[in-house]
This record gives sequence, structure tokens and C-alpha cells, in this order.
Amino acid sequence: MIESFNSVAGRSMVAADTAVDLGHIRGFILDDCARRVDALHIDGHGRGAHVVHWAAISSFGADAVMVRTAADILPATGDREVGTVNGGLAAIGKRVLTTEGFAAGTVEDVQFDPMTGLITEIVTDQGIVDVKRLRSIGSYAAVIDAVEWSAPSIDDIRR
Amino acid sequence: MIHVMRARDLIGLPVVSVRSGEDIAEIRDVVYDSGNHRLLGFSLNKRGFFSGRLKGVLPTGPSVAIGSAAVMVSDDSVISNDAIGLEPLLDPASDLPVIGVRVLTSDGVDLGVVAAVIVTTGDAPKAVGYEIEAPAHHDTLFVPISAQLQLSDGNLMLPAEATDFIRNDLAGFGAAIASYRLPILEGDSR
Repeated sequence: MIESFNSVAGRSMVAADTAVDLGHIRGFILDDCARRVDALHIDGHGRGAHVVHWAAISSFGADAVMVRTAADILPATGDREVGTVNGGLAAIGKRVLTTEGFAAGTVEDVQFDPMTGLITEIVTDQGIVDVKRLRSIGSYAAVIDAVEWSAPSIDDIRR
Repeated sequence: MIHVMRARDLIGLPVVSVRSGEDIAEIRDVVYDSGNHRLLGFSLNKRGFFSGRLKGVLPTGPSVAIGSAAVMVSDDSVISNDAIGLEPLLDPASDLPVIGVRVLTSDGVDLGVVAAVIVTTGDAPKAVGYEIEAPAHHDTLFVPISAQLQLSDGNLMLPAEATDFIRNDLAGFGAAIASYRLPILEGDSR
């Protein structure tokens, strides 16, 4: 089963050891290569924000995300975590550029495997982009490999 | 099909790192060797209003790609401060100006004056032509660059074989030069 950032935003986070509500998912922090969800943003802003690292998630359920313990809620640290909770490095809403410098829309959603946190596809307003084409997500743009466009053949059109 | 654009349209575009997705500079000016009809690279500004000139320059090459939305570089190490061989980039005033120069065909027809340099988009951008304001034709013309193109102080001489590839629209010019056997597009480092 594949989830998406938009579909799980706002989902409850619950401590698996005490069943205490910890809060709701507010955002997603990706690793440096933009291939995997590294942490979930749970509350606060900037260096006052709190995150839960992916390794602390025991189960990504349909109604709640189970976190091992409340002690796994940690302050955001590092440029990527702080930059994402501040919005600068957040994937949703980011302009998309190809490696050849052409605009390719805006990121509308990101699909990921809730078992592993691996990103599978980027949903843009111009279509779905396989993660294999994703090169980076930075403060300015999500960069994807350019694809050589070729005119459809007569056979393609007939199909 | 070769996709092309006016070099001047690159001015102000962000320079974006493919590796990080960050905008690390913006194009201040295009540095062009008019004597050899060769795109050398770009001088740069820092990003943001009133941020000023960046000391480093961006030489063109395989790690640079240009498009209508950004100039892409593999990473910020491509921006050079003092690399050997980049003197024309660091001191671009030494080149003859090409904009405003009169363009003559080899049989003596005055086509107009150079209004812009045309460059390929995508990886390893190169100069491939000139846009000419041609008031006598009430039109804009695009002519290909070739090894035989001669530039003097006041004139640019277009060789006879290039005249078949003159077009009056940019997209048509991109298609035309794909069949014009430019040394530029066949491994020459221009």
C-alpha cells in the first residue's frame, strides 16, 4: 500500500507504550537525497519545532501513526530539519525544474511506502514523476531528470 | 531538432544546483567571444535584490545546461574564481562587440544588424547563430554561425553556404541548423 503526504497530513501520532496522543503529522522531512522520509514534523516552528525520526515509528497505521515512546519526540536539528519545518525545504508547493533548466510544474503531492518511508512518486500539476527521475529537492526547486520528448508514431496514435 | 534561445534572455535567470536544488547565483551577463563566435560562459550576481556581483564566473561546458527557467549546474563547484584559461570570462571587456554589427552576405547584400546571439538549450550550450534586425525586409532574420563567418570592426560576413539556412522565426531556425553541418555541433568545443 502506498500513502501520500496529503492523505496522511493531520493523522494522529500515538505513543505505542502508553497510548498517549502525541499530536498530528504536520510535515515530512526528507533525507539529503530526497529518496526517503527521514522524520515527521509534529509541532512548533524553526528550532523550537519537534520531529519524530522514521526509526522511532513502530507502525504507520491507517488511522494513527504509532511511535515507540513519547521520548522519541525530539527538537528539530540540522539545516534540513529546520529548513523543512520552516517551509523552505518542504516538498509540497515546490517548483519543479528539469536538469535542462525548463519548468515542469509544481509539486502537489508525494507518494511513499509507509513500511519503509521510501518515496515512490512525485505528483505535479503536470503529471506523475517516477522517483528515479528525482535528483534533489532544495529551497528553490525540485530537480528532475529531463526526458527527451519524441513525437508519437502513427502506431502510437492508432493504439 | 535543436532547441535554441536568445542569449540575452538568460540574464536574470537563477543558477540552480542539480545536486542540491538550491539557487546559488543568477546570470548577470553572457560572456561571448565574438571573434570566434563562441559562448564562453556567464558572469554572475548573488541571488536577491541588491545583492551585488558574485566574484566567481560560470564557464560553459558539460556541467552546465540552460533552459527558459534556469541555468542548471551539476553543483556549486562549477562556479570558478580563478581557473586557468578563464581570463576572457573574468575580463570580458576585451572582446569586440557583436551586437549592432552590420551583417553582409558574401555577395554584398546588407541583411541588417546583429540584435542577439542565439544559443542552444540543454546540456553544454553553444552559440549557433545570430538574430538580425532587418529593416529592409521588415523582419527579423536568424543566421547560422559557421567557421567561415568573419567579424571585423563593423561587419559580419556571412558565407554563401549559410544563406540557405536563414530563417525568420526562432523555432524554424532551430530546425534548420539541425541539418546545417555546424562544426560547433559536431564536437568542436565552441
